[in-house]
Amino acid sequence: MRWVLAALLILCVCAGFIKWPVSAAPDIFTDVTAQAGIRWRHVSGEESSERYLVETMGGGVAFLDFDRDGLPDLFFVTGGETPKSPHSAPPNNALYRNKGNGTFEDVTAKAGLERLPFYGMGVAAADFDNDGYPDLFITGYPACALFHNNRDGTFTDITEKAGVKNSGKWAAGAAWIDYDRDGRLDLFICNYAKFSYSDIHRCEFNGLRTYCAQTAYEGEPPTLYHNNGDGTFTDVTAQAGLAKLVGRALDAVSIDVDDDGWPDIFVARDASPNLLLINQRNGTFVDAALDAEVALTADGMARAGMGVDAGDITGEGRPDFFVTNFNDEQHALFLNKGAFPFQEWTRESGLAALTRSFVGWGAHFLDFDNDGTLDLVFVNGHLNPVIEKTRLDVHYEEPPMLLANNGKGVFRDMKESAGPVFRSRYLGRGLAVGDYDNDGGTDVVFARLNDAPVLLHNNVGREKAWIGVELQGTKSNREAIGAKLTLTAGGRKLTRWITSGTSYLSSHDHRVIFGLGDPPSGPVRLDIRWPNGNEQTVSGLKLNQYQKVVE
Amino acid sequence: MGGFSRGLFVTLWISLDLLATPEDPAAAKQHADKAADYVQSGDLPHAEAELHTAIRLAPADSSYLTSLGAVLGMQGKLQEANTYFERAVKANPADATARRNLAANQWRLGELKPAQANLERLLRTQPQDSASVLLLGMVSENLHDYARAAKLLGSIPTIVAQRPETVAALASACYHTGQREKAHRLLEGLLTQPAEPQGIFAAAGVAAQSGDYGIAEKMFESIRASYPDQTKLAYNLALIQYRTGHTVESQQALLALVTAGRGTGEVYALLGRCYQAQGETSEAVHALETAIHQDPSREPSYATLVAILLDAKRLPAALAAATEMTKVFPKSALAFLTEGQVQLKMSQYTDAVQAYHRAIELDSSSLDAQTGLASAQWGAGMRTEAQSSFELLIKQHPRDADLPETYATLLLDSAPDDVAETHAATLLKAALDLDPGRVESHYRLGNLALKNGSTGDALQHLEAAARLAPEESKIQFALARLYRRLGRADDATSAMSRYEKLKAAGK
Repeated sequence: MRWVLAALLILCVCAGFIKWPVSAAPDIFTDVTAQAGIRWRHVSGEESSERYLVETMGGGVAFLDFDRDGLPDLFFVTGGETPKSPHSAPPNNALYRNKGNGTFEDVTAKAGLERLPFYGMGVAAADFDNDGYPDLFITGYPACALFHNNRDGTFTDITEKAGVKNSGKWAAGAAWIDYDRDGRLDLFICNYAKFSYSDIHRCEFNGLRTYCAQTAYEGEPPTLYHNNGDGTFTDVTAQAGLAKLVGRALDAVSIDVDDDGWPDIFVARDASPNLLLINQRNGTFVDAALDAEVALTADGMARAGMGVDAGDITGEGRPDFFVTNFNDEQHALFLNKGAFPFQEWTRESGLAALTRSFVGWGAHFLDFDNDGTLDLVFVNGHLNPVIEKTRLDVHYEEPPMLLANNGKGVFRDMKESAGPVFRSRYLGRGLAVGDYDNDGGTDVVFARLNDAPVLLHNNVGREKAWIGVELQGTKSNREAIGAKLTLTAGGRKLTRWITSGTSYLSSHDHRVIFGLGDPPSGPVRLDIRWPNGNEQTVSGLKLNQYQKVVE
Repeated sequence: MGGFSRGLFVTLWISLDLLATPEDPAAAKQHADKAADYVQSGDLPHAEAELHTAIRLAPADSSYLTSLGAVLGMQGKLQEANTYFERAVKANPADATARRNLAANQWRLGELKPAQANLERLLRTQPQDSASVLLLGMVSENLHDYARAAKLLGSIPTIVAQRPETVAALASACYHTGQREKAHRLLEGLLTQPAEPQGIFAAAGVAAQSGDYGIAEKMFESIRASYPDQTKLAYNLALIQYRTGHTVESQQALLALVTAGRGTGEVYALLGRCYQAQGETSEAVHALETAIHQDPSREPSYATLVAILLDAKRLPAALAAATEMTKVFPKSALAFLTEGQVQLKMSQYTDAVQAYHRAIELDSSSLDAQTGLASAQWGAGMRTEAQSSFELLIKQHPRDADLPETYATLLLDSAPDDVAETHAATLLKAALDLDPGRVESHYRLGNLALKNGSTGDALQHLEAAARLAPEESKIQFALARLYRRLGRADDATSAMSRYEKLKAAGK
């Protein structure tokens, strides 16, 4: 009888009449913003009567370990007030200290980072003076600011002394780069457009006031500041050959494109040709974007390049480039084949079809599941609130996307398993990646225009083997920005770089996670090319933890 | 007397005619003879009265009914005339004169199909009836059956030559059937004989519409002194000057009319086009706005204004003008087509879909509206509907090279997969088979070939595109890319330089 009953039960289960309690696979990411105690909201100036373009563009975010306790903290840049949108309470930036238990503490006031005397855009965090503590460079209009980390939980505005105010300009993204390999981080600033609150541009749609297209505003050349090593910087834009490169730059990534040991810069520009600035090793750069065929589309049109990242997505050991663009332009992917031109891989990768309807912003390559291949995460969100009056397939608020790489540069949308955030819509802007709980899974934070940010915990990265590396330069800049790391393990070679800039207006955890999939058999070797050109090999690295490697 | 009242009066009079009156054929003939005398002396109202009496006395006599119809027709009372002609034909279906007069009257009223039917019936029984041949030739020309018109009118040259209107009709038929030389000779012949200025004017208009501007100008000039509407004459001469590229002379002539206080809607509209041709956009817009103010019922003025504003990239103003056009002409397919075109240019795709739908409701045969709808659907994200529309249009219009090219372009711009890309290439090749001079098709195929590494094909297509459109910046850009890939650095540099110059010039 018991056998009969058991057989019957099994039949019922198979027929779906009875459901065993089966535990579902966890979402790849979980929104932990509320649990983390993050209460800050971005203030954009929100659709002032004059529709200042600057209101639609801001929202930088950074992962940085400002107090060097081994736990990455968070910094958010607010926009601010415009002449037509005064706020009842002055808008603040926010510095959240990681308490190590999944929660964060707002220490902005104590740190002296609450307010800026300008409209805020982005942030680039790095230890510019090599004292072991990351500093903050904040961009905006009509100025920028450099805050020195005093190593006691406070920051000091040293902008004027340092000479990096970038006065009168509307600055967007910034990247730290030791372009002359003197061991000190220099500063590359993406200047966007000639803008003034008193120079009103009036655009309408069916009688409704809207933001004007970016082409209504003239571009600017970027700014390059050389770090003099004494707390001051010198504007070397003209000497570096950059003064004539006028365009609407939004963000950049500093990385060695041609593998000659000298850092180059890829600049994403909005309705202006992208730039691929190749370091000539003599203090100057030459733009090779046309030769690389990354400047313009095949029709000679400039896309609306907003966010950018670089990483080796095919395992060939060379950095490939991803740029977020406007709807109908598709977010572009360029494969670095070791020679010019690069191969535009947008359609073949699946990105063309996946991104056709979206306006993309912050983006980063990440190995979310630690299988050894670089995947991709980015946020979207339109500029024009009336877009849904003209299109059925493009929306104002848009979902972020997590795309899994098959190892050959073909991407698959993971929205069904990525978590509810990836099936919801936002006005996404800045995005940063970092491992805030040191579990080996790359976490993500993104900013939303005029709204609260979203902090996403990675639930799956820790399930595979990984090696975490933190580099410390001694002759090279202390954060080793510009280093190339090649890990050989289990018959595979994984290449990563420590970059600066990247994404949109944002700054990232500079530690490197190598995802290995299954624990490798055999020895593991790490080859490092330090930013100043020195080479070093490290072995004996331990799995599933971070280790520091000193130059 | 108002139209309705006159109609009622006629009905009553006809009824009176039908009232039982003792028939008296002899008395009827006396009245008919008197009517003939009155016609001879030009006293048509008395002639009409006598004929009404004759019809009361002999109501079934088709000749009296026909005569009355003729007298009414001579007085311009065409609808009343029609009634009596129809009665005559009904009374005696074999009466060729009555039927012929009926057909002629129907033609004058614009009732072309009934006129055609009556004339064909006549010619079946009397194929040599030259009056019917002449009339049917005129009707055919009006129905745009030019081949038939040319055959019919060409068979009675002596009769045709007697009036400039009939010469004009034959010339029009000849122009439309590729017999340009013959048409030209016919019209030249008019200049050598005396003719009424209205007839010469009509004939000159035919020549101008067919692009035979030389003879048209001669004919207009020949009636300079005699044509009663000097404004219209001057306008037509200015129009010929505009069409032959003499925009300055045209502008001067039109300004002379304006200065003389004779600026009509069409004068201002043409003046606007002259300004536009000389790059004076503000003046052009002002002239068109004045044209509309002068004559708000003149639809072409709105369409021209929108075209000028689009050309000047003043899109919001173009949209405002197009929307106004739809309000003034709510039953005009052209108005909604124009609005849709502007909305498409402004990426207002969902609105464009609605406008094109309305245009198609008003004119289901409009290929422009159907193509526009498909493009707007595509832009709005209604891909399935758009693809179906395009596939159907291509099937229905296999000789139209625009359709496959437009569809292919949209496919290629929309992140196509391999299948869609192959389909786009097939469409572009089909477009080139139909018209080897299609720049965009060459350009797109060239870029596809470059992308796939077929540099030979890329070179062939891109260089063809550049020859056909040397001022298009994107073609120069594509060539620069290709030359770089081929290692032709100098050629690449030259092409990039041309690209940058053209781009800076907005090309």
